[in-house]
Amino acid sequence: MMSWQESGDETSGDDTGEDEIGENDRPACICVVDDDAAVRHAMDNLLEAGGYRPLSFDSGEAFLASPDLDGIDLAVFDVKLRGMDGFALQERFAALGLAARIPLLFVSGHSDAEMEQRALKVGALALLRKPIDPDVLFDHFEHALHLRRTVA
Amino acid sequence: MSAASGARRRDLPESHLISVLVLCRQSGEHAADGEAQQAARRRRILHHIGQLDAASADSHAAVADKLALAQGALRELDGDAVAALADYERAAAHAAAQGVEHIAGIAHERAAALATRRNLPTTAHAHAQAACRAYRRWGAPGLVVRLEEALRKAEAELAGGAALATVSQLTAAIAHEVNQPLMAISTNAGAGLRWLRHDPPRVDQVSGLLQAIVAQSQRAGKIIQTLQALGQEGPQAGGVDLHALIQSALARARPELDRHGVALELDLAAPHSRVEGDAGQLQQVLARLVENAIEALAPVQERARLLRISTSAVAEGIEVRVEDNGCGAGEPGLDAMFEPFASSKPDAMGMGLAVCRSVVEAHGGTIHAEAGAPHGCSLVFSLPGGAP
Repeated sequence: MMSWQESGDETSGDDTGEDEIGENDRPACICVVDDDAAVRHAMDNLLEAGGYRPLSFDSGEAFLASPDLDGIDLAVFDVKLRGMDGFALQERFAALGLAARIPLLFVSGHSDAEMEQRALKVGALALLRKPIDPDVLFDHFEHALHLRRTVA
Repeated sequence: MSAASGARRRDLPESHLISVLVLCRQSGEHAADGEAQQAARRRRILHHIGQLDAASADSHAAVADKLALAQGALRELDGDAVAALADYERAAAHAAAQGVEHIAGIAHERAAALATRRNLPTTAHAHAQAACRAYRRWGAPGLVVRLEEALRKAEAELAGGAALATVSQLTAAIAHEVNQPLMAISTNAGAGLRWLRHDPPRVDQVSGLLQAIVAQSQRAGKIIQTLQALGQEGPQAGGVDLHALIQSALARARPELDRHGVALELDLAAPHSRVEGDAGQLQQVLARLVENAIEALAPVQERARLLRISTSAVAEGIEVRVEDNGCGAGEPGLDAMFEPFASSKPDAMGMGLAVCRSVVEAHGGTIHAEAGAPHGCSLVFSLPGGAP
């Protein structure tokens, strides 16, 4: 298992430090947790159009219950979720050891500087305010995936 | 404020007071901060209050007002409104006795704001007036203008207008609710552009995205329309005939009721239907409750769709029941229906019922949901009044 945060871990061998999407054996899997169906569908569409593999969940509980977490390359959590919120989900995500190998971005429809600080403090790469420019979003994705590949 | 306060500054006690007020405001605004950060702020607040306390031992008359004001601010932060109001009264009395009008003004202004948030409009009104007088005597016209605005709002509230405090509480909910459809629009547009950049362009993928953009634009517009309808008429007091409002809300909903084949049953049995309040806001409540019922009825196939609206006299005043035999509250359940983000429908405006609750409570009433037997759900609100 590779790590995007700590150097020295073995890589699984299928990622070779490329930062271009689509040049690897498989497209990166980006997982979105958002309780708004319209936003989820739109994100699925955007990810697919951009050459990523989308995987989305409508709640933190559904995410944690999924058998597909091993294949995720990058996670995107909405802060305001029904049930456990994005930060509570991040705690479980970290406790399961997922944070060590999957970079995380938070998104939120309503945030302030304090919430952004908190997101960075718990190890997320950023907290992005909705609505997010798709180009900016993709820049963040590629940056995160690049980090994950090159550091590993 | 600066020129006048410069002339009146008594250096130390005043600067301790200002530190306390600033720290209390920061603590209140950044409630999400970590415990350590909040504890550090609290230590600093207690330090400054301790300094004021020590200073008041030397010259009680000159410092008692500032000490009481600082203590009130801390109690307000701790959620003890009654004790805070008493402290503010004490601060204002000491300040007035010493002729320190700006401290009296601040104490009354804070008391007015606190009383407004705690739904004590009579208290708020009195303090706002007193603050106006104090600032005017002190010679701060800018503050008087600001206070007069607060006073007008307090007067409007006294007259049974909108709950001003709930407006600020709803700001976060509104930002979230509007940003969700905007996020969907922007993301769908980004997806469409990327499909068109494929070689050859994937035109087949784009029309669904454009349809989603249209639907999400409508969703955002609907949220704004509801807010405008709530806000634009402003709080207007006066007698409102609830029965007439119900008839008018139903007339407006008629096309939707017909489109979904909903049968309507009206039982307006309350002998007197006049209440004090804002007709525009109450009409929005009725419209939203009817809309909620239609949404719950739309998926029903196996039985006749029925909407029943009834009124009756109850101990608290007049009760209005909006019942349907639709698909019920579903998840997250009856109790949670009025939470800002609760909605069992994926695309419904989650804060609709939260706004209803705010409006009903601002009118001194209550609202709750009951499960229907065997199907559906009733939304029931009562308002004071119903007098002949």
